[in-house]
Amino acid sequence: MEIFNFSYEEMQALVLSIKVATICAVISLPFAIGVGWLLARKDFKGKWFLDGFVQLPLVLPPVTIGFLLLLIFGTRGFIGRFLMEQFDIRISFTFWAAVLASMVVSFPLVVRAIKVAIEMVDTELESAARTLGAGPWKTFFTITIPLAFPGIVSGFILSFARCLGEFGATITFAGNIIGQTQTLPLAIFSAMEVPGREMVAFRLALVSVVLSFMAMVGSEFINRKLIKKS
Amino acid sequence: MSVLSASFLLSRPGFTMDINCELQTQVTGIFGPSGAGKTTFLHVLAGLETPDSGSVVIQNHEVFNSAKKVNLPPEKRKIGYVFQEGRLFPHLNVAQNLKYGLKQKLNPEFFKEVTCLLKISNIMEKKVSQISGGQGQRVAIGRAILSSPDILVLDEPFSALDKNLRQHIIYLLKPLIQKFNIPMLVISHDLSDLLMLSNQLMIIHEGKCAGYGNYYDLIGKKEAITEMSKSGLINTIELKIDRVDKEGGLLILSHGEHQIYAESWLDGDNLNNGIQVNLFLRPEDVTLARHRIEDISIQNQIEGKIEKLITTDNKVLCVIDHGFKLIAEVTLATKQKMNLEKGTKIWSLFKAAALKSNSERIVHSSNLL
Repeated sequence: MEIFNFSYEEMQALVLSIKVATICAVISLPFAIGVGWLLARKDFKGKWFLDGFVQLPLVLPPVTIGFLLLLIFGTRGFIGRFLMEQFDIRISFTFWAAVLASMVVSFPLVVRAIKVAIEMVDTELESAARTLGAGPWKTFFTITIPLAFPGIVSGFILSFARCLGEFGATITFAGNIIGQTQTLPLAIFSAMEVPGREMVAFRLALVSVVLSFMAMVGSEFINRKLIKKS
Repeated sequence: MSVLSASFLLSRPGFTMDINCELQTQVTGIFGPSGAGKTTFLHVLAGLETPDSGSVVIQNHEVFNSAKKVNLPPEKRKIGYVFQEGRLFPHLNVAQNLKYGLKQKLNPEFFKEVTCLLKISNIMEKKVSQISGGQGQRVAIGRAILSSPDILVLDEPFSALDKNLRQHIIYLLKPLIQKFNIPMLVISHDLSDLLMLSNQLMIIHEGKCAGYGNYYDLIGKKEAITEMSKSGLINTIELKIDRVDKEGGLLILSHGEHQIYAESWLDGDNLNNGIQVNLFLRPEDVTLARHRIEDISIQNQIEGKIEKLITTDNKVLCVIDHGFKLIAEVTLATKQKMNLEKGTKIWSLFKAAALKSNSERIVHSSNLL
């Protein structure tokens, strides 16, 4: 069957996509938990600004995000140049650029899921833990996080799924380098550009649908299990 | 040594709390109407709310002092807080909830003792969602005690329970207090619940302490009596069951030398002789007489001495000492007619049927589970 006849390059794109999405979701998670908790539990000056800033990638065109990332982390950008000159580290047009682009784009989704989950945790249970001798950190890790866990898991999977589909910011900031930054959507785009490679595009599109569907169903399944358990 | 010394001011929009009190008794009931500030008071003690100024000292341990900038976080205050709704952690089972506040390594004997006294040893592995309201409240009490607090505070621990369960938990609390010798503050808006635990009351009214002291002394204070009257004054008598007279339909109880008769509406088969029970008697159900009266249907006639007379709007409250105290309510006219004065020897008469239990049945703690 021609449809299951994956070439090496296509497999590379598939593996790369999963790798980028997994690393992106894992690295984003602690930051998202921190920001989600801050937005859910704390009142501070400039909260509206932080909230708006975090949500911004939801409404910005991904190409704009890629362009801004290039301005900041490109070899002539103020952070990119510093990293290049001081540590000889280059980010733009590398694997890590694809990760960073995905992180920025998916961050609002995971923050939102975690923020809502933390808001749902009864603060009275947290104060009960405090009166029982638990400090703020113990309370956070033994009460808040376990009770918000279903939301955290669904945030994680949402972030993973969004990374799988990331295109605009990645192509602008990380390029379309086979084996390095060419993820599934980019490979589909490339295949569509070349006449006669429609089957490749179709095959990869199918894989991408199956993968995303599995992530969403998996998220729902885990969520139900966790809710049932608690 | 004072159990608690609190003097603080806390202002919130539409509510000011200005407290100045020093509590010395092992068990103090905090009484007041809804919205008076009872819970806020406990929150301040526990560090869940910060007053604007003042100081709070619990068992000689200064937990708050605005002048010295001392404000210990809740986890450092060593207060065992039992919340109104229990607030058990839903993701942990009963045993894990109980162990949550352990300060050092688990002492299995202490753990066993607390769980046995509270009668929760058989539900250790259950999820919080699988236990009843009464069990949940007992787990919450156990969890607070196991955190080895300097003081135990209970915020309306009975309000979510029905009358039978209330009495049951009160019967369980009493031996706990004696056994572990932990001072305790209990909030309730139900005077009879509090009086079953202690005669020592602190009355909170509109954010202020409207009185502190013995119940029978407090009824002499205008502000305190006004508040307590709203809930209805009540006599609580701790009695020992001597025997059940099935043919006569009577339950025979005693307090010291006095023999007291109550109606045996109580579930006689479940009662063991020697059990201590608290029965209630309304002050308006007590009749006063100068002499013992023969040929009368009233079963209980006990002699005592008037300790105090308090005149409120149009009635007189007599506090009579019989070895235990009783409040009797009479009219001004009766007081004049009978020439009632402090020190007058008097007989208190009340029907067996006037003695009520707080629950529909008097139940010894072991019979309710």
